[in-house]
Amino acid sequence: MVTSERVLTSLRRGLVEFCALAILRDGPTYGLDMARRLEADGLIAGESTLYPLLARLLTSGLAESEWQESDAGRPRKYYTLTPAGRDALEVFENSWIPLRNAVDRTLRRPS
Amino acid sequence: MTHNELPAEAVSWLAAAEQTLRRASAEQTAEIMDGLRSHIAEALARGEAVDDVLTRLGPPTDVADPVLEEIPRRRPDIKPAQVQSTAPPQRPGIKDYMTAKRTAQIISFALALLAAAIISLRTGYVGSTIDPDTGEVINTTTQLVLFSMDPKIAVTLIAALLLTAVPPFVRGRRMPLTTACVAGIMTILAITTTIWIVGWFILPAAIAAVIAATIPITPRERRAFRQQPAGA
Repeated sequence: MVTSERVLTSLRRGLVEFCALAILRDGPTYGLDMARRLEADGLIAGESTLYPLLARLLTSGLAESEWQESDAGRPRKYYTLTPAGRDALEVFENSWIPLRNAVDRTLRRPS
Repeated sequence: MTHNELPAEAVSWLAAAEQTLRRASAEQTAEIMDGLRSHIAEALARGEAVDDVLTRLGPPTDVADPVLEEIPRRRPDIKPAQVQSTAPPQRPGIKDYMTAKRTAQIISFALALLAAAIISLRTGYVGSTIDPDTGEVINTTTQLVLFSMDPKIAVTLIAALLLTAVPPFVRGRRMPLTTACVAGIMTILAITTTIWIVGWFILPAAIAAVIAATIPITPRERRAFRQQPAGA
């Protein structure tokens, strides 16, 4: 039986990475902040799933990380978008918008 | 807040999460665990309760699912920045080279070499010196066949040696076809030269070449061939 959770899991797979890149486009961000934003938008179920995704972005060269001292003096890992990540995000946006429109049209089409 | 300052529940959660990452690389595991520790420390520093933080993180097993799905991840439509590796690429070692097929190729060459040695290094009769008065044989001269070999036999042996020497040095997609061609030619050579006897000597080498041709390539070799550019 197809449940909304299965559908959402299936849809999120492949999209969340680009949403994470989009968050990084706004500037360096640390993990907790990103996790809270993605979870609030319903893009991740458990916040822990962000970190394997970030590890993959780092391995792929689409993001980079750096430890910086926070205001409270505690080290915090910040993630930033690389030029390759910026290009990847642009490719995704150019692909996503037509795809999203096509899906919307198909769903609205009378049977 | 360091790892040692995290509450026991958080430390247990992190340990369970790390356990699920057994199949990930050490680098990936370290990156993920760093991120999770920092996440928990930051949330607790903001005054959140450890139970709430761990609930929002989800079960420790959630950490592994995206990792195991995506090892290795191929993204053909997006080209990531190429990471410059300072480590030289690993050359295949002797263990990777010595498959059953390669062993049979080398045995084929060794048998051709043995046939050539047996034929060339035996002594052959050259002539005798006879006493003109008594008619008795005074002296018999022999020399290595190598120095007085029939050209047909020499060409056959050289051809066998050269043919069987080729497949061990051929790498890549051409190797199976080369091995098969050498096996075919060696078989024809051995059969056609049996009339000169030398064919029987190179027949074992021909049989080994046929065996080499019939042994399938290993899955590792098949993967290596697929990764090579076409025409390699």
